[in-house]
Parts: sequence; structure tokens; C-alpha cells
Amino acid sequence: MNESAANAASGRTAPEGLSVLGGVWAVLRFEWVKLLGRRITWVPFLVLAAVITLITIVFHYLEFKTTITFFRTASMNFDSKNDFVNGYYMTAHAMLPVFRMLIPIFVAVASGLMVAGEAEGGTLRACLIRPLPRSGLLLGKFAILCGYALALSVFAIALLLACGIACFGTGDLYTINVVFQNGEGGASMVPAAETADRFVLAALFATMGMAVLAALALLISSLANTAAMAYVLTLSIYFAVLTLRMMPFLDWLYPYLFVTHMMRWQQCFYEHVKVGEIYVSLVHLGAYLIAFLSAAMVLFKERDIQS
Amino acid sequence: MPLSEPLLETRGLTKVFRRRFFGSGSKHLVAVDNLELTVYRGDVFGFLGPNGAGKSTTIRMALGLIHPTQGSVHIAGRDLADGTRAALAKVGAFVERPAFYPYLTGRKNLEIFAGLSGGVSVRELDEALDRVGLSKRADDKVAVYSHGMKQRLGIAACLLPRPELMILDEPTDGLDPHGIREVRELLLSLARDDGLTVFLSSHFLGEVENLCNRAAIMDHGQTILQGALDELEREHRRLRVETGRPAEAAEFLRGKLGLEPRLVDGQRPALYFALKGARAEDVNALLVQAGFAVRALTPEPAWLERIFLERTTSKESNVARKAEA
Ligand SMILES: Nc1ncnc2c1ncn2[C@@H]1O[C@H](COP(=O)(O)OP(=O)(O)OP(=O)(O)O)[C@@H](O)[C@H]1O
Ligand SMILES: [Mg+2]
Repeated sequence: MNESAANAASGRTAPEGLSVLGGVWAVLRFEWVKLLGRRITWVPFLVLAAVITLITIVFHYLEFKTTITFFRTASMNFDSKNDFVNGYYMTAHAMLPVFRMLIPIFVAVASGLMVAGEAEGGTLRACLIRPLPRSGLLLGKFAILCGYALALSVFAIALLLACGIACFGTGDLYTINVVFQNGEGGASMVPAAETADRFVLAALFATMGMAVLAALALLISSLANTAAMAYVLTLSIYFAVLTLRMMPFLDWLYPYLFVTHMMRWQQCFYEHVKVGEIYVSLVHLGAYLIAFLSAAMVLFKERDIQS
Repeated sequence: MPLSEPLLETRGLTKVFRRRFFGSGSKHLVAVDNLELTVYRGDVFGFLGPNGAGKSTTIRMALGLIHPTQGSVHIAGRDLADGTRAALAKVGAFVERPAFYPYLTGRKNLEIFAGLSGGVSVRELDEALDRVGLSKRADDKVAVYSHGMKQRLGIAACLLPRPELMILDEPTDGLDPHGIREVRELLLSLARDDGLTVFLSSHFLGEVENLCNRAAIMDHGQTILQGALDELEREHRRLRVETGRPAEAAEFLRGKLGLEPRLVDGQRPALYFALKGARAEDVNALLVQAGFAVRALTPEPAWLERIFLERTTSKESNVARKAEA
């Protein structure tokens, strides 16, 4: 090596590597490009649009006879569906299956692709030989995943409201408490003026639940070797716990299950929001989130990247 | 050239894989066994070994992808396991084969990977693309790249941001003769003109002979040979000498230079011997002075290959041999 070349090499010293925060920032700058560049990222939006269209059509043709009977037992007397079915009613009710089934599936798949999928494709090792801490990489991916979950939630709720209001107008929101698992019988009425706040609150709360699922999915994704393995495992765990949640004789277990708290956004459509219960759920969700994320970071750091 | 500072060092590097499934013989597999490698600044270091010798495993440990069971890796004096990732800031590398996001363009891929090292300017990006001859295809999706183009893009990714050390796992794997030559010339120019240190694993012995100044041969996780190629050559490369009265000439060389010539009879009997530090021209002069008519004096053409084949065993061919028996 000649003198000048040696100087050239040492004159431009490479940076000292990135801190955890620097790593998060570096990941944030590009992870969304990767996310948006993949076609599969857009499939959930199409599915949501299709499902919501279908729901609107069903609401249009359905007569809601059993529902009217239900409301009657809660001493709310409606003559026809026109008295309670409106855009808000449709949105609140459609949110139940959307947030219990669809969005969890989409979040699980996206997070499976984010780490295990990259391990499968070999790009994970290309990322990890860069001078950024593994925890920074994981946190950056988690942030993007939360953003994705929020985008899906907002898209679903906005489209539901748009379709619902366009077809059925607005009005007060009537709900049957048992359907929304408020822990009480009877029915609720939220005045039309208050519904906007309730939907915003419900969207944020539900997304918080999705963030917990995202953390769990990322934990599994960072240990699995293939994307398929990651999201099959995640969804198995999620639906297994959801099944436990539905077993009546296991109700002593409910307060400890994360799905209980993930579903707590339903409180937002109760006549008087139980603020205390919402705080309890927020604390639980936060604890689950921190636990899943720290486990993911510790285990991912120790993991040998063999793919 | 005086030995400069060590840039990449492994000390007692060991990796034991636990076998997960029953019935596959022993419980553990020692993939890398107490490995001591030293790559000095300015080296082009060739890392040889048969399939399964542990080359990729070593490189993975050198890049912090897998954790050593024992031992350590130092890059520019920094322990890779010091908790920071600073040691890797000076390294550009790929293992097994470079991988990219197929649905993004070559340029975007480079931007993403360089971004994870702190980012580079557009000019640096263009330079790297230009250097590997991909400027024209940089805005195509990687999905439509040929194998050779991906390999070259992999090298471009290693150059961003500018490293001091490049660690490449079989950089010419699967390239056509043009590609092999281009990569070889690129690596040479990086080493010579830019002062980069290059550590590359390879199955092409000729490539290592042409490209590298130092080399190691690995087998079953251990180095069986390591050093400067010209020293190794002086030590191990054989000379083939055709002379009159070969048996006497052999005696003469044994007595005079302490060499150990082997007489191979045939149509044209010849002496084969390692030079052990002596120079071919001196041997020639001595023989002629002593009255032996030297008809031909040829350095062994594929000396590295011979050593490789003599001293290493191929796992795959062992299996084949067992199956035949
Ligand atoms: N994840 C793993 N689990 C178990 N054994 C492994 C694992 N990875 C590698 N090995 C074993 O370690 C040994 C070394 O493998 P390695 O990939 O390092 O070889 P190599 O020298 O790179 O071979 P090649 O020239 O074929 O690329 C092999 O016997 C291999 O089977
Ligand atoms: Mg290999």
C-alpha cells in the first residue's frame, strides 16, 4: 500500500456506528419505503373496502327484527330499523369483527414479514451487519408497525362512517350493552353530538390494543425463521387466548388476558364511559407492551442469525 | 512490506452448533475450532477451505451475526462483543450471497443499507454504482437483475459508506468469466488505489493466488495453513527438474542444499522437490556448475491446489465414497 493511499484510507474515518435512537431513526427513514413498496401491504386496505361495502349492503337489506326485540327487553321501543340504524350504529357494530378478526390478522402478517420474512429473504443479515444496535432496528420496525395499524384502523373507521352516513344518515347511537361487553345488561344511548369524540377515542384505544398485538407478533417474528411460521404462531396464540376469553367458566381469568384489554375500546360506546376501567386497561396494555417488546429485544439480541 | 497493524483478528474463535434432531450421530458440531486469524491493514486475504469447513460461520461471527461459543473477534483493535456496534462501522460485507429487496430498485436498496450505517450522499451512491458498472441499470427493480448484477450490487453496498475493511463471502460465486475478472480487478483496484483491506473466502485457488498477498486454508474448523502467499510459495511450491543422471543430481541436491528431491521415473524422468526457501535460479546454477545438464526446470503450476487437495478432505466426497463402499 502506498503512502497516499494509506492517508486516504485513514483520513476519512468511518462513523462510530449508530446509537439505539440513531438506529431507530435510520430504520424509520426507510422501513416505510419497504412497507409501502410491497404489494401485500395494500391487500388489507382492499379487503377492508370490500368487507365494508358488503356490510353496508347487508345493513341496507336487513330488517333488524331480533335487534328490535332485544332493545324492547331493555325497554327501548323502536318500531322499525329506521329509528336506530344510522351511520354511527353501523360503524360501531362493524368495528367489532373488524378489530377482533381482520386487523389482528393484517398486523400479524405485516410483522411476520418485517423480521422473519427478512430473515427468510436474507436481507435481515444485510441489515444486521450495519453498525446499528439490534434493539434500534426492532424499535424502528415496531414504530412503523404501529403506524400501519393506526392507518388500517383509521381507514376502516373513516370508510365505515362515510358509507354508513351516506346510506343511513346520522343520529343518536343506540347499542345493546351485552354486545359491547360492557359488563352490564340493558342498552345504551350516546347522543349524536358526542359520537365524534367516542369514535376518535375508540380508534386510538383499539390501535393501542393492536400495538400490543404488534409487539407480541414482533417478539415471535424475531425468533421465527420464516414469515409464515411467525404469523401462524402469532395468530394461533391470539385466537387461542380469544377462545379462552369466550369460555364462560374461565371468567376469573379474563382480567389477566391481554385480549380483554384489547377489546376494552368497546367501553367507548357505553352510555357513561367507565373511566376507571379504561385506565386499568391502559395500564395493562402498557405493561403487556413493555413486556413483549423487552422480551423481543433481549431475545433478538441473543439470537444467532443463521439464514 | 513491513507488517502493519492487525485490522481483523480472531482469537481462539470457536462455534459449536447443537444438533437439534435425534439420530444424526454426535450431539454437537464444532463448526469453527479455536481459530486464530490475523488480517493486517492493506492485506488482500484469501480464505480457503472445502465445503463445510466453517468459512461462512467464521465470517458470520466476524460480523456479529452469530455469537461465538468461545473466543473473540477484534476489528481495528475493538472487540466486536464490547456492546457497541462501532467495530462494524469500518466494515463492508456480505455473507453467503448478497440479499436485496426485490421489489425496490438497485439504487433504493443501496440507499436503505447505507442509511443503516448513517447514510451517504447521492454522489457517493452514484460513484459506487459506477464503480461496479451498474449505473445504467440502477433504477430497475432488483427482481429483474441477473445473478451477476446482484453480486455486483452487493459489492457496491459494501462500498457504502466507505469501509476500511471488506469481508466478502465467495464474491465471484456464480459469475461468468467476464464477471470474475471484473470483480477481481475491482477488488485489486480497491486494495491498491484506495488502500482497502479485503478479506474474501473463495473456492477458486487460482483467484486467491492472483489476487491475494496472504491466505489461510481451513478444514474442519481449523486453519491448516496461514501466511503470506510468497512465503508459503517459497516453502511449499515444488520444482520439477529434468536433468541428465537424475539419481546423482538428486544426491547432489540433498547434500548441497538439504533438499529432498523425489525421482519420478517415466518417459522423461524428473526430480520433484520443495524449494524450502531456496531460489529456482540458484538451483539451476548449482546444477549446471556441477555438470548436470538441466533440460527443463519448471515451477509446479498449481501448487496451492495440490496442498489444498493433499491436506483437506471434502465432506461431500467422503459421503460419496462411503456410499460406494
Ligand atoms: N445453523 C447451523 N446449525 C448447525 N450446523 C451448522 C449451522 N450452520 C452451519 N453449520 C455447520 O457448520 C459447518 C460449517 O459451515 P459453513 O457454512 O461455515 O461452511 P463453509 O466453509 O462456508 O462451506 P461452503 O464452502 O459450502 O460455503 C458445516 O458442517 C455446517 O453443516
Ligand atoms: Mg460458505
